[in-house]
Amino acid sequence: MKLEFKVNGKTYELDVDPESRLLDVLREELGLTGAKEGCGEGECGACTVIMDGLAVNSCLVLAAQARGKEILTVEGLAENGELDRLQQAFIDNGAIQCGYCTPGMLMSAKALFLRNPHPSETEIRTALAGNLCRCTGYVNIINAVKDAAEGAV
Amino acid sequence: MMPEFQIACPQNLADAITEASRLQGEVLFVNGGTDLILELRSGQKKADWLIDLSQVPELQSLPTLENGMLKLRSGVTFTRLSTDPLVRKHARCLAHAGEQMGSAQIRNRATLGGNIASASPAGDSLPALAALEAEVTIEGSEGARTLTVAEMLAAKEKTLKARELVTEILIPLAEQGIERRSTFTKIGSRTQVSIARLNLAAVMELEHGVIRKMRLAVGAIGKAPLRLYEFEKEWEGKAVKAESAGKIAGEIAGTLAEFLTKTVDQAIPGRHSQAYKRQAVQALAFDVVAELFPEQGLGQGGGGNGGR
Ligand SMILES: Cc1cc2nc3c(=O)[nH]c(=O)nc-3n(C[C@H](O)[C@H](O)[C@H](O)COP(=O)(O)OP(=O)(O)OC[C@H]3O[C@@H](n4cnc5c(N)ncnc54)[C@H](O)[C@@H]3O)c2cc1C
Ligand code: FES
Ligand code: FES
Repeated sequence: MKLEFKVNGKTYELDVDPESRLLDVLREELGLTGAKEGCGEGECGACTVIMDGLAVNSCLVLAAQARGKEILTVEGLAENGELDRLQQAFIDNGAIQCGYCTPGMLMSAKALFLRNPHPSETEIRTALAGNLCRCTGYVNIINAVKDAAEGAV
Repeated sequence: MMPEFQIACPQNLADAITEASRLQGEVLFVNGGTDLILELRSGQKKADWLIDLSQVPELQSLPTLENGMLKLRSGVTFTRLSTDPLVRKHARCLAHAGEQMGSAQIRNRATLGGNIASASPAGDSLPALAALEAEVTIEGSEGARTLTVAEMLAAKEKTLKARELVTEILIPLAEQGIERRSTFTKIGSRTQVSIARLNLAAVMELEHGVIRKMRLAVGAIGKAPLRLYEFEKEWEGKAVKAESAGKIAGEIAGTLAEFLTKTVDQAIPGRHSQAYKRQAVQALAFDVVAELFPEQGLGQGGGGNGGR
C-alpha cells in the first residue's frame, strides 16, 4: 500500500506492506537504524520516535497509521552538522555506555522539551519512564537531560 | 513476525461503519494499536482486515459538555485524558487513571475506546468509568445504542459485537450545587509501566457538607470492576462538617480497608497474590480517602503505596 509521510523534514512516498510497523519502514526502507527494536512490545522504549510532536513506540504503530504524519528520528536531531544540545549533554555526562537505549532516550527527552522546555526532575523521570537502560543506572541520563534543560551545555 | 492482513483507512465515521460491514473475512478495528499489534504478532488474534480508526476525525475530537454530560470520543488518548481541563474538572478519577497508565509513549497512543473494547480485567479506565456511572455508545451497520459501562462489561461477548465500534463515552455531570470529588489509584507489580494488579476509583458528591453520593469500583480482581454498593450506602447522607471531617475521613478509610479486604478475599480465595493484595488494599483505601478529603492531610495513613 501507498504511504506518504514526512521523516526528518523530508517527504516520502513509499509502497509498504500493510503489516509493516513504523519501526520496520524507518529501519528497512529508509535505512534509519537509529530507532532500535529492543523488546518489540512497548516495554523498553528503544524504538521511540516523535510523531506529530509526541513520543511513540514505533514498534506499536503500523506504518499505515503514520500516513500524513511528521516523524522525527534521532537522525534528524542534529542540524547543519551541529549536535542537538541533548546529544551534547549525553556525551558530556557520560550518559551513553553501550548506546542501545540512547536514541530512544534522546527522543523521549526531545518530545518532553517540545512541550516543556524547562522540566523538573520529576517531569524528566516521568517522560523517560518508558525507556529502559541496562547499563548506566539512569543517573547520568537524568543529569544529562537536566543539563540540557537548564541550557548548561 | 506479523501475520498478513490488509488495512482499510476510512476518512470518517460513516465510512468506517460501511467498511466494517462490507469487508470479507475476519475484520478488526485498530486505534492506538498498543493491545492489538501485540495480539496479532503473538497469534492471539487473527485478522484478514484491520480498519484503522486512528485518523477518523469524529473519534478524535476533543471532550465537550453536552446536555448535562461530559462527552468523550472513543479515540481520546490517555495523555489527553490526563491533561484535558474538562476531564480533570468533572471526571478527575479518569484523569488520574490516564496519568498512571503505561509510559508516556503508551499514553500518547492508547485510547479509551481501545481500553474499553479490550476489557482486560486490569484495564485502568474501567473502574473510573464504573464509579462515574458512564455510558458507552456503540455503533454498527444496524445503528447506534447506548449501554452503561456496567452493562457492557457484564457480558462483553454479547454487547460489543464483531464489526461494531465504540464511538462515545458519556459521563453524567454532578447536578447544580453539588461538589464532585473523585480519584483513582492502583497497585502494580512494577512502577510506571505495568498493567495494574488492583485498581480503585472513588467518586464522592457533597451538598452543603452532606455526602449525597458515594461510588466505588475496584478493578483487576474479577472480569469487570466490582462496585461496592453496601459500602456506598453506609456513607450516603452522612454529614462532613469542617470540625469532624478528619474523623469521618478516618472512619471511611477504616471501613473501606475492611470492605476491600473482604472483597478481595471473596473474589480470589486461595490465589497466591491474595496475601499481598490484602495488605496492599489497606494502603489503597487510605490513599483514596486522603484524596477525597485533601484538607485532612491523611496522606501517610496507609504506609507506602505500592503503586508508585
Ligand atoms: C507497555 C504497555 C503498558 C500498558 N500499560 C497499561 C496500563 O497501565 N493500564 C491499562 O489499562 N492498559 C495498559 N496497556 C494496555 C493498552 O495500552 C490499553 O488497553 C489501551 O487502552 C488500548 O487502546 P488502543 O487504542 O491502543 O487499542 P488497540 O490496540 O488499537 O485495540 C485494542 C482492542 O480494541 C479494539 N478496538 C479499539 N478501538 C475500538 C473501538 N473504538 N471500537 C471497538 N473496538 C475497538 C481492537 O479491535 C482491539 O481488539 C499497556 C500496554 C502496553 C503495551
Ligand atoms: S522495541 Fe518498541 S518498546 Fe521495545
Ligand atoms: S547505555 Fe546500554 S542500554 Fe543504556
